Amino acid sequence: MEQFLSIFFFIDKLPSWVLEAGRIWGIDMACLCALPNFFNLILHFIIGAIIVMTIMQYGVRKDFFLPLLLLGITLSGVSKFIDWIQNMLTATGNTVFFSYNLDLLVEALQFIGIAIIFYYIFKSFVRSKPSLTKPSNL
Amino acid sequence: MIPTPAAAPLLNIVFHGAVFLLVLSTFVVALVVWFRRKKQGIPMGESWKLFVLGLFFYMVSEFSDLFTPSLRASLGMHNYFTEFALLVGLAFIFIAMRRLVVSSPPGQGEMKP
Repeated sequence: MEQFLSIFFFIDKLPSWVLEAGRIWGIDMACLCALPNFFNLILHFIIGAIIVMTIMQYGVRKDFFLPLLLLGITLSGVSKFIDWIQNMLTATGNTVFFSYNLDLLVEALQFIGIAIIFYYIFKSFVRSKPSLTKPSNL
Repeated sequence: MIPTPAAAPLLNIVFHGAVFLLVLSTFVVALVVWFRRKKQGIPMGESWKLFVLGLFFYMVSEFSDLFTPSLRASLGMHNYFTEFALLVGLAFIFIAMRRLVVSSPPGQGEMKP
């Protein structure tokens, strides 16, 4: 059991300054599971910022395409944030942190968030009418 | 020797399963749309291909996430594969979404240059 866990937790093998830097920046260096979670959060921030900028540029249209897409991103982002907190609590604590209730909340938020995102992406793609002929260079 | 994972609460498995089925069905529908349009001779944009590729990684991630509640509870195992596959999938989906949002006015769909 300990050998198995040591594959995932190598906190004792890292220099203390590396661990401290990881804690400051919110990246667990002991259990790298939260690392992809961290970048997932960054991705949500980036796409959210792009949508906000587009809304500021074009304004809100009648179909509420962008605000609802932003809502989906926000819900999905919140779920990833909670997931990241769970991983960080495990990485920086002495025991494994896992809450079944938080897990339910993460999945519920993720479900609603990605359902909204997928619906509006699909709607937008399917409604577009690409030309039947290939674009020429002329 | 890895011990047998403890049984997770049914509700957690149902919620994880719901997310997996949502992504799986979206992936299947996306493939059907792609296949039908290809059959009709209508080329799909690069964004669509990226979106479908992202859905694939997302689906694989959610499949492995089905086992997360029981594995985490009993072993303290953090599923690297789940998180990394999700990261790759979301990256592709968000790139497709960015192209969709930036290259077209809101609500107008993807526009060809």
